[in-house]
Amino acid sequence: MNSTKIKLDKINKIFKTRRQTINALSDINIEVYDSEFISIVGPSGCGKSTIIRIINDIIKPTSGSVYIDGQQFGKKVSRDLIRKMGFIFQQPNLLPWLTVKGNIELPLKIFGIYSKKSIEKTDQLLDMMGLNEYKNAYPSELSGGMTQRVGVLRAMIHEPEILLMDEPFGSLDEKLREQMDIKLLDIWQKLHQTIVFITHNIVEAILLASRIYVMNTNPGRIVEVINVDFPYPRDMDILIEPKFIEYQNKIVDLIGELHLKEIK
Amino acid sequence: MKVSKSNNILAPLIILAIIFGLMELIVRGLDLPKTVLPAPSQIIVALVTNFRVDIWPHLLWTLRIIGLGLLIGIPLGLLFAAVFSQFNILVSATTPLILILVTTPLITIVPLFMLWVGFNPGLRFIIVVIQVVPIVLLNTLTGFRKVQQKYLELARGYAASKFQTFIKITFPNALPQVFTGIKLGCIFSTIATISTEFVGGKVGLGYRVLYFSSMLETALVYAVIICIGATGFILYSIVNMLEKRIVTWIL
Amino acid sequence: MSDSKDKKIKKLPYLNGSLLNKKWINVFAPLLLMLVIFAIWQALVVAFKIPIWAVDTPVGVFTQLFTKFDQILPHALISIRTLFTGYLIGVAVGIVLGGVMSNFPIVDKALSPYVIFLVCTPLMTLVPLMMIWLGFGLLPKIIAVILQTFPIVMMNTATGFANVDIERKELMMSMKAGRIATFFRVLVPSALPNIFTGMKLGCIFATTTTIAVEFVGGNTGLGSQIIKHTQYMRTGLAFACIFTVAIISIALYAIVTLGERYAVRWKE
Repeated sequence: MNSTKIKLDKINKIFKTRRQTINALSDINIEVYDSEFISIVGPSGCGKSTIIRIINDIIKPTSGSVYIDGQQFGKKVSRDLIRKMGFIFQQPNLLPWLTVKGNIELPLKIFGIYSKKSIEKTDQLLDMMGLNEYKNAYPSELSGGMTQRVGVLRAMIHEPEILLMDEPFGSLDEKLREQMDIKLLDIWQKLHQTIVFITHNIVEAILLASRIYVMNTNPGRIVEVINVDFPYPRDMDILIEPKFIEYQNKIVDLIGELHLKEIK
Repeated sequence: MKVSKSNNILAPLIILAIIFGLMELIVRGLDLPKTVLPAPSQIIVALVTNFRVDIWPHLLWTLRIIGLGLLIGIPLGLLFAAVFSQFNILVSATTPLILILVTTPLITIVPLFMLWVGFNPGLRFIIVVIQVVPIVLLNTLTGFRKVQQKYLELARGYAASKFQTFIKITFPNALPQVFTGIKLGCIFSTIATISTEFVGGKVGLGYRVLYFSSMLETALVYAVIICIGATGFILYSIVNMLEKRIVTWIL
Repeated sequence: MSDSKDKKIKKLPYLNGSLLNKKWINVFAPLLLMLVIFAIWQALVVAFKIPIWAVDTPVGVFTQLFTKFDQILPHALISIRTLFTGYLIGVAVGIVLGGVMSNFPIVDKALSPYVIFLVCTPLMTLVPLMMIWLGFGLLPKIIAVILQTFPIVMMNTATGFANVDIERKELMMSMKAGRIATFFRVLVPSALPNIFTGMKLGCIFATTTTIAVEFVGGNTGLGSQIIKHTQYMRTGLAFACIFTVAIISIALYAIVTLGERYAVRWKE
């Protein structure tokens, strides 16, 4: 049994604006094991983006604790702990004034581990993704798929043990998204990171993850945890398996049914 | 996330009170000479007592010049822009020249202008028009040209005519930039007007500044400057409010 | 956006009409227009027999410009000194204050009406007083230029810093980058376009103020010369001075624009 990599214990998050108080997250308990690939699905506004930001200490929870490798987050979280994580944003979020190369090397410079070896590593990664010719291009010259690939590389350049992905392929078209999903599984098979993958696309979640946390809104809470019983390595063939459709229906029912409950 | 409106007015007012109080203390405490920096209370007093006789008629004149200049200059600038934008060659020919007109201080023409038409304050609005038109024209043209490709393609997809495309897509899209041009036009209109009054004539707030300065009536000088500033500020705020109303409907 | 596009670098969106993309048209057409305007000007003066003391011909003006250049030059240099010194200091002050203001949102909200007030007030109105306090030298004029330039630069700088995309800040937060690193790596580059807009507007304010203050006080600088030559009905010489002012203004604006092109070269 693998050790617990990430643990969220009774996490609550309340956002206070001048006009209203928003109960974004209520009693969130999540446990992710080492080298596990989990997904969080839910309707928009359920707080999944907030959860992933709490894990990366971009947002502080109102109450509850975060544990990475057994170490609890204090008021100030150490750089070393953050360095174990790589965050991939929804929009590629590249800095437009840096070249592709500059963008990818950015974490190295900020973490202070930039060296000659890093330059070789960057080149290798670019090669692996087939983006070598765009090394010195600016983000404005790339298409959406390319910038997102650069975003993924940037999140991985410092060899993090944990990947936090916030609907990374949501803005891509279906064909490209499938390619990226398969590529992601490929990378994961090789590098065994612990991955938390947020998406609103149920098919994508079942394809990728071994466990799925299903969430709902008002307040943001976890409704059920589903074990996806397909062996790895996976490919697009599993989409037509009856078991797959079962999972799909189950999740749709969960989210849809709860939505109906709210309308009543 | 909107900050409540009361906060928006309250904070600057508090600052105003603080500055007012501080300045009173500093001026009286350090016993600064009245000719350099009178106390705020003295400025207010000077403003109020002399307002009707010494300031108000000149304020009206200055307002007249600015108002007329803007009323003619802004539509003229918009009109030129609308016409020019239809002919690409005209745009490419005139843009550098308009840029020259914008960056060169057109108040350099003022002395010559006064030589030709005399000091008649009734004609000074022409200077304002000359200063306002290029800046409105330039910003409007920029606004028209920056229309996003995808919106134009949308129009073409519906086989919209050139006129329809202009009215429904190009113009609304350019509105923010157009308003920037109008706001800048307001600011430059005050500067232009005061410049003409500096050069010559016997009416207008600019003239009063010169007069009071020469008389070392410093409190009055500050009072007049505040009036001028308030005029420009009110103009700017009006345009700002209009912009908030109009642009939110369309965009 | 399909995969086939990945193989090509995306084309930059073209302007309305391919004619604008031909570079030579963009140089040729304005020059042609200028020549046409000068020709019409010349023709009108000659045809209507307008006296030289009222309006000089373009030919006359250029002749004056070249023959009397030694008279114009010292005043041009003085104007340049006033303008450039005032402008540079004004820009520096504006950027620093704008950066500071944007760091404290409360200060920002409280002060922004006053910044707008400063922008809208022709601060050249303080010059007559300043000349009484500080004499007729360059100092009061430079101060006036600084006072008129910094508010607009400050306003645009503050906007630039305030409008940084939250995702960019989150990117830095996701790596626990310190405040200084975030400032220089993200905030400053994000704000640069706005800062340059402020600087370009500041150009216009600075040149206008320089001339305006030279109108009012003293007899040095191109502004004062324009007044003098106009009083003596030497309109040709007056126009020559105006042209010189135009050249100086354009030069300053061009320098700033070149700086912008270099600093913001990553923009589409």
